Amino acid sequence: MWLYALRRLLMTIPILLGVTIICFALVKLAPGDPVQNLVRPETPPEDIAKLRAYYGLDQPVVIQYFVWLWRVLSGDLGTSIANNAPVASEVLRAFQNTIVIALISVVLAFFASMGLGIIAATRQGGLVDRFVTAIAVFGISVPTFWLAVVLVIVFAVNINWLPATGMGSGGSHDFNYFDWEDFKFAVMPIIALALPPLGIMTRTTRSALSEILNQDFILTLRAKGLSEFSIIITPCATSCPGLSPCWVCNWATSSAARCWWKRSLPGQAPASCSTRPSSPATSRCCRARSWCSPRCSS
Amino acid sequence: MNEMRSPDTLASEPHGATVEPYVRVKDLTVRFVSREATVKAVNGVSFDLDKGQVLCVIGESGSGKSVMMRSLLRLHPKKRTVIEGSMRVGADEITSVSDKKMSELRGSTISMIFQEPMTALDPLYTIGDQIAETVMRHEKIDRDAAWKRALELLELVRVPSPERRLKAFPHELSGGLRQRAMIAVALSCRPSILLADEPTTALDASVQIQVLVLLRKLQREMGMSMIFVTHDLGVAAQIADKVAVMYAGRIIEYGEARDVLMHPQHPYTKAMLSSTVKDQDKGKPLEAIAGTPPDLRALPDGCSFAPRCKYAGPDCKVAMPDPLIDGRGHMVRCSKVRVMGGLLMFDEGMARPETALEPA
Repeated sequence: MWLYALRRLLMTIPILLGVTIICFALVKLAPGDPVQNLVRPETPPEDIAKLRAYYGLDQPVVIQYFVWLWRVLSGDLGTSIANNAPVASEVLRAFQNTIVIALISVVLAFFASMGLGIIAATRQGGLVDRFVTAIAVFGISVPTFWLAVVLVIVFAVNINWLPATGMGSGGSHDFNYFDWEDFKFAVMPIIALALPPLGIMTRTTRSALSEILNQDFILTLRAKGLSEFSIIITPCATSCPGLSPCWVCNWATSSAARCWWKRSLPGQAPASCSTRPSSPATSRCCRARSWCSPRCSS
Repeated sequence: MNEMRSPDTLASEPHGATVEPYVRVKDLTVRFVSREATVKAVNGVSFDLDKGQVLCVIGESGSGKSVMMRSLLRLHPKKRTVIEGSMRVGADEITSVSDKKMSELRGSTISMIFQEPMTALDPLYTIGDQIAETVMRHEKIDRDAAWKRALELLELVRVPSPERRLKAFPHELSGGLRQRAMIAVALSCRPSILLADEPTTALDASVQIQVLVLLRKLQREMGMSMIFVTHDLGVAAQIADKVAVMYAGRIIEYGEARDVLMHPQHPYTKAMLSSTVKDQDKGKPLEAIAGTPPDLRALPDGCSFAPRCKYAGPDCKVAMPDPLIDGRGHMVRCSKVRVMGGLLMFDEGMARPETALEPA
């Protein structure tokens, strides 16, 4: 068991290496020269060559890769060419904004889907089951960005209950969940973010639980005199970890929708960097994000 | 240990000279209702069972044996099942007790052994856990005491090296051992009635006998009543006091094991007995019962066995014959059986005078 876990962990090393090589290569292959972007067109070639040497871009690609890899491994993600700030802190700033809504939507989706899944599984074929299934299918199939826009139209524009954009006065640093003035900005993002994983996890819980409830030993448990409640809760509790892949899904989705959450904050890294490839590090970062969600860069 | 409900409490009830039987099932009908069809799984079953007696219920697959057993524990899904009639166990009327009371009765007063030891145990918990769980549920004792009881129970059901087996998961045990563990779960709270739903069917022959002998022994020692469902007539002959033969959700023959198995009166029982290998001449082909059991969604009028019965006449197709009981308590539902000299007698020619007999 432990040996198996260790083996799987060691397996991630070559995978991670492969990922870095592919990412690095993709950025190199992408059209556009960061230094060209940085300077005016009339800049003399000697100056461009100096800048190139300064950023290490005159080295062979392989050397560049290993230099970069070594720095990443020692915790240095480099400096953004566009605004001269360390990439790590830029990413962290964006990440803080993400975490404000992602964390709470993950928790919400997890518990809500658990409850809905249990309700659906114990009332299979009933009206409640169909209703829950409808919610789940809606959550899975409706794109977050569309839902987000519709939510804005309905709740911000039409009935004006919630703010359309922004993240309150304090930003993510002073965000206070318990203050409605702050929290109202997070309500719609959280709902939009929570719905897709909620749909997936509800379906997963429902099918897993109904499979268990149809097994023979459930009849034994009933015949032993156990209560319905404990019969249903026990398999749920034991198979909870089985839902963890869904958590990962949720994190992936959250990176997509945070654009919406962030859009209102002008001049911040992800919004600006998505328009032009600046430094190797930041462009890689936004490219990776735009793979997660094509709508991010549009 | 649980104080077993003594038969005296029943005897002291004002019922005159006759002692009330411990279990009395009367006119039990069970129907499964769905949008497409109603399945009439049990259609008017009545029987009595005294304390310490073994009733064997035999019949083909789909004759309603298991359904009847599960009704005694009310294990069917509530919404889709209609249960009518009366099932009294001890002082409790199963059809009307509250859900809470029912779950208290389950596993303590009435418990059940299932057919498939492979799937009837929870694969995620150890044997000890599963036995202790039942004990803790019904007797409100702590975990250590429950585990101690589990160990005693495994010794009781003759599981070799019980300490080790307590910590084993079901998949680590053989079929026979698993069924023993299942029996230990069922006996953990000293039930006064044990429902055994084909407990030996899934086991291989040598293990079958061991489990059977063990069950019979424990049943005698603990003074339990037992309802034993099987389609193995040899098993029935070995352990039964009473035998009930079921067909299409009805008991068509009932009585002392000796009477039913040695002097079967109903053509179905007879045909079933003659389709076994035992006591048959070598080289003689076995007589199988032609046809299949009736569709329980659309039972024919009249005797439900009539379509397959070689003695059936036109009058058999009119109505299900009423029970006919002789002095020994032997009951048969067949229009061609009459009572002669206090005993039931099958008479092939017995039919209304105007109807000519035409063997099908």
